[in-house]
Amino acid sequence: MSEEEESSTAGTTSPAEIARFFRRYGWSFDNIDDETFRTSFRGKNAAFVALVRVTEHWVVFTINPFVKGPDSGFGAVALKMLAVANQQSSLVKLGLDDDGDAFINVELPTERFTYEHFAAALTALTHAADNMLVPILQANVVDDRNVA
Amino acid sequence: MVFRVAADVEGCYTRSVVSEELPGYFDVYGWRYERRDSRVFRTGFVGENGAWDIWVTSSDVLVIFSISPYVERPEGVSPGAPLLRTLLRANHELNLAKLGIDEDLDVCLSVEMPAEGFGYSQFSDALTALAHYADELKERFDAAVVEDAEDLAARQGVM
Repeated sequence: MSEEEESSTAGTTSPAEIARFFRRYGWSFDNIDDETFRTSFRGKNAAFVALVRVTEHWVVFTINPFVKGPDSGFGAVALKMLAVANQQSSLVKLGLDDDGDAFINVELPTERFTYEHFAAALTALTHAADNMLVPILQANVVDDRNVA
Repeated sequence: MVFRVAADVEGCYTRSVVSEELPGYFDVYGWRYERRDSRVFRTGFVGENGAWDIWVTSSDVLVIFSISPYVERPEGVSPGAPLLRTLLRANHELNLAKLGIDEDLDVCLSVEMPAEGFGYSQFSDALTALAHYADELKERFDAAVVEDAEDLAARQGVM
């Protein structure tokens, strides 16, 4: 039985299948460990590094840090922009990690995970990152001015 | 209540039969529901810390489970930094679910699943996650709302 047949029989995806999805999508990647892939892309305004991690239950696509948190933490304008973006962006979640940096991720179940899910997740992640970066940096500037 | 319409994701798949499968999934899960529209369902539950309505909407692209509002905005007040920070930090802990601020500036808790490949397992995961986090996060958000009000009062006192 091939890896692909084995995966679809089990009904859950695997790191080997994710590697095949990357090749089909046409993006290069590195393996950080057995379950984690690193890829990168250049958007309109910046280049981003994204990680794709396969766990028992989830496939997680992450850009972290998406925007490094200022030393004093994000201000009210940037916080509101990040919070509102969660409601406006399908599949994508934005938040703050333990270091106070902003992240973007997409989480989907490993069960019944298909190439269409993979492509949709990467597309959603890259569009959100590309579209949100400048507004958040601008919000940081406004927050700085409000504090000064 | 503003229903979110799943935006089309470029290059995405479509599947339009999910809404016809949802009644059967509710029955198997054992929760009663009300069909409000061909693609809109309402259910609810009582947890240890509160009672919530859950809205389930399906489109050709996504199935969205949401509690909206999860935390209602106090009259005439925008969410402040303490509440927003609580929301965004919680998003780092949640699996599958996410918190956001909607057009009415209320806090919403939701789970979005692709319509492609959607089955009972995904339905069960989504409802279970939503119910679990709604109950678990309630006290944290109650405290954040209080902190928000104190923060606002302190700033108004300074001005």
